Amino acid sequence: MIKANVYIKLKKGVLDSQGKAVQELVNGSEIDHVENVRVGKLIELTFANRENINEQVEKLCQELLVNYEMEDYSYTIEECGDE
Amino acid sequence: MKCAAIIFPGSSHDLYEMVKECLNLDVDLVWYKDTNLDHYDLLLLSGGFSYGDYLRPGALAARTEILAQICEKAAQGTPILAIGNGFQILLEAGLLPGAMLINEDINFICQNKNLIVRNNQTFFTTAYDQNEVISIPIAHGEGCYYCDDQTLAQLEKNNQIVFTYQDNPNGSVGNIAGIVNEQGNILGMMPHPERALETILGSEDGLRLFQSMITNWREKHVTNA
Repeated sequence: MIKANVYIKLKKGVLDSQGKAVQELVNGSEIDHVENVRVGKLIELTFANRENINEQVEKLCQELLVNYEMEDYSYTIEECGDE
Repeated sequence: MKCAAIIFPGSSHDLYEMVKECLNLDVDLVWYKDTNLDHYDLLLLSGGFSYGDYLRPGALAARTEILAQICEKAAQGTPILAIGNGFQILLEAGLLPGAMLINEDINFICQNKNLIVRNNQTFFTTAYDQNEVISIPIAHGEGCYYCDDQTLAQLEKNNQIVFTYQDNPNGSVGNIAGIVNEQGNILGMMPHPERALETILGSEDGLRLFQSMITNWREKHVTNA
């Protein structure tokens, strides 16, 4: 099995309300010096084999997983055992 | 005027019930899998939480098969009113420009808000005065409208900004509460005019939005008949 890990985050400059709220709480804790927090998401796509995997991941990102108006993405590919 | 209120899993029925009960419109509740919209004159996309807001609000509904038909109707000039989640669906489908973010202060806000009518020349707003202040409830957690500077300039240039908030409650770019597409036949807005049709519910300022639509449709179609 092979897995694509798609990381999605808000574009630079786009308001991240979740990140801001988390940062407020973080900086109210013992570790009070975190400069910035951005919250994103991870989507794992598991495929049976490697064939055309980059193309397929790109296509899924473009058509569904990512909203290009506000989000950026990157992804990594890794071998994985049966989960 | 035959109307379709399109319902996805998780959509609310408010819009359908209110236009039927308060305005006596001839409206069908259309399940998203019933994909024949040919004979409808007006499409309504209601609020709610289609597909539980999974992935992004409206993202999954915007990829269902019925969207091809909605796009076709839109291109033919059929008026489409999209409220709340309906607006989010059309943003995700690319029928309206921009995107929707989580409210600036992360709260779900459910309150009457003052809106300013910025364009009373649209199909949906002719019964209002230009710059009139109206009270319409909002009920959303992800209603912070976002677009880049270039898109905002386009919206302003083309007079596509129809409603703005008087006191921006959610961080929306340009205080935007509702916009139309370039052709002017699609209105998307986060506030809920269908919940402001009777004074007993706090406001009847939403009534004239529907009256505008009815009057303008009749003027165009009935006089020619």
